[in-house]
Amino acid sequence: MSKKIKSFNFILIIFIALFLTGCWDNEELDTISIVTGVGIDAADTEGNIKLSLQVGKINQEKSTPQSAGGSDDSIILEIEEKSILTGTNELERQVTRALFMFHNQVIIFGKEQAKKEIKPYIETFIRQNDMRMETLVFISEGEAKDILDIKMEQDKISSFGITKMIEGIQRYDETYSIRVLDLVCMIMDEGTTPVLPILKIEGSDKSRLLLKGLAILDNEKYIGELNETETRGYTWIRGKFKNTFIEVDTEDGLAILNMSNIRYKLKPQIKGEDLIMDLEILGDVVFSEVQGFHNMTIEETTKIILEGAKEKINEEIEASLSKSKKLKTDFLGFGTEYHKRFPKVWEDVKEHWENIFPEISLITNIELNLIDTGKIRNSLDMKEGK
Amino acid sequence: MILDKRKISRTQFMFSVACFIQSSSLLTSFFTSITKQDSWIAVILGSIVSIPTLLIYSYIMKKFPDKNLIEINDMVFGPIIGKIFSIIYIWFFMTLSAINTKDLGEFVQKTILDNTPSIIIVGALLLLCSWTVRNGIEIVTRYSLLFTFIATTIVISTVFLTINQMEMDNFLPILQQPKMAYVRATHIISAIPFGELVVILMLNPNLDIEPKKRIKYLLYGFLIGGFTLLLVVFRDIAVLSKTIEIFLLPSYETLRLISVYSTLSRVEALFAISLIILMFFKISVLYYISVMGIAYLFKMKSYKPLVLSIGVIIIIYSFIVYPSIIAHMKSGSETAPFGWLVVESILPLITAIVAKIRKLPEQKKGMSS
Repeated sequence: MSKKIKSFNFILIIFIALFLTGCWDNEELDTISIVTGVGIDAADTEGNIKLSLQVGKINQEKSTPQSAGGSDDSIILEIEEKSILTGTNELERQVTRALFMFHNQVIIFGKEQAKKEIKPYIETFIRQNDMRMETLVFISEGEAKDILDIKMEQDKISSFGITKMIEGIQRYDETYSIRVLDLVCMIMDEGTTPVLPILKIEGSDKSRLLLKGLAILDNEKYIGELNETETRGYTWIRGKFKNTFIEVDTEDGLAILNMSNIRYKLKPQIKGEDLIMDLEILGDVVFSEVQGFHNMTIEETTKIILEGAKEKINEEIEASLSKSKKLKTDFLGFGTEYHKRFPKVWEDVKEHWENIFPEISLITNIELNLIDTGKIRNSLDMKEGK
Repeated sequence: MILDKRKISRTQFMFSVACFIQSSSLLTSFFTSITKQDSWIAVILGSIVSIPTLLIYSYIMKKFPDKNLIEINDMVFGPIIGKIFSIIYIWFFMTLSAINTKDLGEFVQKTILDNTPSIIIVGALLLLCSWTVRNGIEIVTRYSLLFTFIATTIVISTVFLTINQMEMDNFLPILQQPKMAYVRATHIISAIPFGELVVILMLNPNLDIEPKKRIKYLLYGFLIGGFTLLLVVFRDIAVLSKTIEIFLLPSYETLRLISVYSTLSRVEALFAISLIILMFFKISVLYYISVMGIAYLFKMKSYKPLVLSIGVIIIIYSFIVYPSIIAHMKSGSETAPFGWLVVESILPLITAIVAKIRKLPEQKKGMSS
């Protein structure tokens, strides 16, 4: 009896293995188009967007000998539609292969679209299962499509180039890597205006991409942007530098410092009626380059340079703060800090935060600790000995 | 009349309890959508609130060490009212099995096998479960230690892998939600993962533990499970911040974010692994219990003929239990906890009180000696 059951089980297993397995919903590499970048631009018709998808080519013919710029590594698909998914569905019918969104690297909003709205289009990227939350988000100066379309010198597919660039920058500065998740967090946080990095095409042959400051999105609409100094200020306040160079330009000479081991403390305080933010920045500095400082001793030089560096940081912070006050929008996230640390106070002020927040005074306390002067002590121009 | 004579050892019992709770740690959105960054508080409150319920269970287990819930109902309330109680319990167990089957089927279909008809996924799963159930409780719980070990290892290792994305600021502000939110979330946690432990009352006669020590192993298992749940919620809040409230599967999204220099990514497969093994365990236990419940209710001589037919009922039930995911979420966070509470806490409490008043176990002892 049990032998019968055993042989029945055996046949059953063989049957299952033969007939229930298979690859009937397989997706082979030569039947899919891998989308590597999504660009969203403003369309002329109200309520529509111009969707451009960058599709990386897989079948690279090895025989074509380095045709400079001749063979395209990616193609751009374009369509004007109401939403991202209607656009991709429409595109599915125009291309020979199925669109495969899992490997999307970047989402780029054209500046014109950002001036209209971006929020409804973010929704798709968090709802759909084949979209990943760590995709990077950017705003493009000009059209997003152009950014997807350019051939960078070293990376033929621009979205991979952008990702690599961000990965490189991220080692010392985290401001520019804003993922879908971070953007959604910023949108959901009370008292923060979202910011997104801006991409710009530069160079005579239009083959160079540049990260140029941050775009400020009040109510998820583009209202202004930060230049380089202001972006640095933003980075100081949000505590996103891991290490950085500080350029100190004094009357006596020029010095470049490398600052590392940076520690930040941003502390909201309430003193009486006033709201005060306390920002503490501690860091170790190393002299990387020193020019000038004729006939001065190293002690004097050090003092001047460190003072200059503090001033420089303060200037950058000030620039960013005054920009924020001018635009009357709190992209520095002070509101969030108060919301987190003083939730009761926040309940009272949040209704008219844009009027209260320009009154906040920011007190900075910067301490730089010189740990190394590099391979040499005195500069060539400096006074010998002590 | 004991239908399944096999015994469960202490470790098996302890880890079964842990495993049972852990299986709910994957589907946390019922309460994370309510208390957001304070969900960890709700987990702690929920576990504290659940302890009295566990004490009721252990009281019943101590008083009736070799009887299961259906028999206890018959003894305590008499054959008619007892049967009504038993039917309510069996309905509850069947519903739970159907809901969990549905959860697993939906998850697998949504994330891995999106073109496969869900009847194939659910059918294959239930076929495996029925094989286990046919072999009795000892087989069902045998792998609980291994499953708990795998699930806990996955949770702990993912905590380390996401540590660079965690921000302690995400927990602020603390205790700023409306008060009702905490009450609701606590209620959900005590009803959905912890309260479902009422199933152990059905395993009672199979425990190979002295009646007095059962509470100890029950609490140990409860602690392991509760701690894992807490850790999962902590990790998800630290990584996802406020966005935790909008995701249906917060843990899955957290794991999707893991990427160690693009060499170690796509770790969400781990979530799928732990979900499938834990859900397999949970469904097996619930399935076994539904089968046993019906077998005892009708005083059958063997439970084996029931296994396949009840499996079919569970499959069909799982398709009709909720019309859509919206209804599922709504019921999970709004109506179900109240219904569950009746079955999980109030009915056992009534049983315990009536047993106490009628001094039942003593009589029984006197009769048997």
